Amino acid sequence: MKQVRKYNQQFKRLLVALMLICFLGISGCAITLVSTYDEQTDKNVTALQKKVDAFFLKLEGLNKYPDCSYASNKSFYDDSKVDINSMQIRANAIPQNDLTIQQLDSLSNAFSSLEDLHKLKDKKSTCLTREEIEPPRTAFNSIFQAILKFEIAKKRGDSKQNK
Amino acid sequence: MSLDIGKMAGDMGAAFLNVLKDKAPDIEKYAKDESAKMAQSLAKIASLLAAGKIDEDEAKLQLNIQKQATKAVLLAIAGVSLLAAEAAINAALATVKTAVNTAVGFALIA
Repeated sequence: MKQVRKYNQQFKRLLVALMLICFLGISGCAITLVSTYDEQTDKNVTALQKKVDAFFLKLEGLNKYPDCSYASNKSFYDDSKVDINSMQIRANAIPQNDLTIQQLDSLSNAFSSLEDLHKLKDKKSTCLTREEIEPPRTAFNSIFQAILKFEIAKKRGDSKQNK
Repeated sequence: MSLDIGKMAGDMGAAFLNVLKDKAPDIEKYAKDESAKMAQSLAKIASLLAAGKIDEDEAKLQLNIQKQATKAVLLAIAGVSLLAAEAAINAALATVKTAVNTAVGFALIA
């Protein structure tokens, strides 16, 4: 009996808290814990994913130094860094978008490591081999998929559509 | 103002569980698939290092790329879980909307 009373008291507190949140006017009572879906982020991430994947494919086909060198491919890194920076600026301007901001930080950090990895090959005057490209390629696909999975889930609504 | 707390608790609890049950398998599958991919990549990096095909500096950079991927995936899982929690709270509120609004005499829960 005591437990039932305790349970009821806890539930009342939860109910009051929920009502209070409603009173505060958060989206007319529908509670929003993360930002809304941003179509531009979706498009930008998808476009960069294609660009990065095309770059990995190109690198796999280049097995002669200096065609495969960092110096010969610097423009890809410069362009992509501009893309990532632009996405970070946009993400920072969206309220309740902290998780996406952190995901883009991870993308930026991984991208710097890829660039450094490629630079190291220039010191040895060798190419990144297909075997060496495989782990970063998988990792970048995971990063892009993770950002898109979360962004698309923000559409809310039909759960099957979001899977 | 009279509210059947017991019934409301039951309805809200059921709504919470329904939403969370619906979302959990998708999140679990995604986490397992990504873990498998990362384990394979880590094994590949270790084998490249062991075979002398990459040096320590290259292995560290390769490892950092994998770490960042793991972080991005975990953040996606956290985000999707947060969205599931949000949906569960909103579903729970919807179940008690009529009862609460009737009891208070105005549209407290819109």
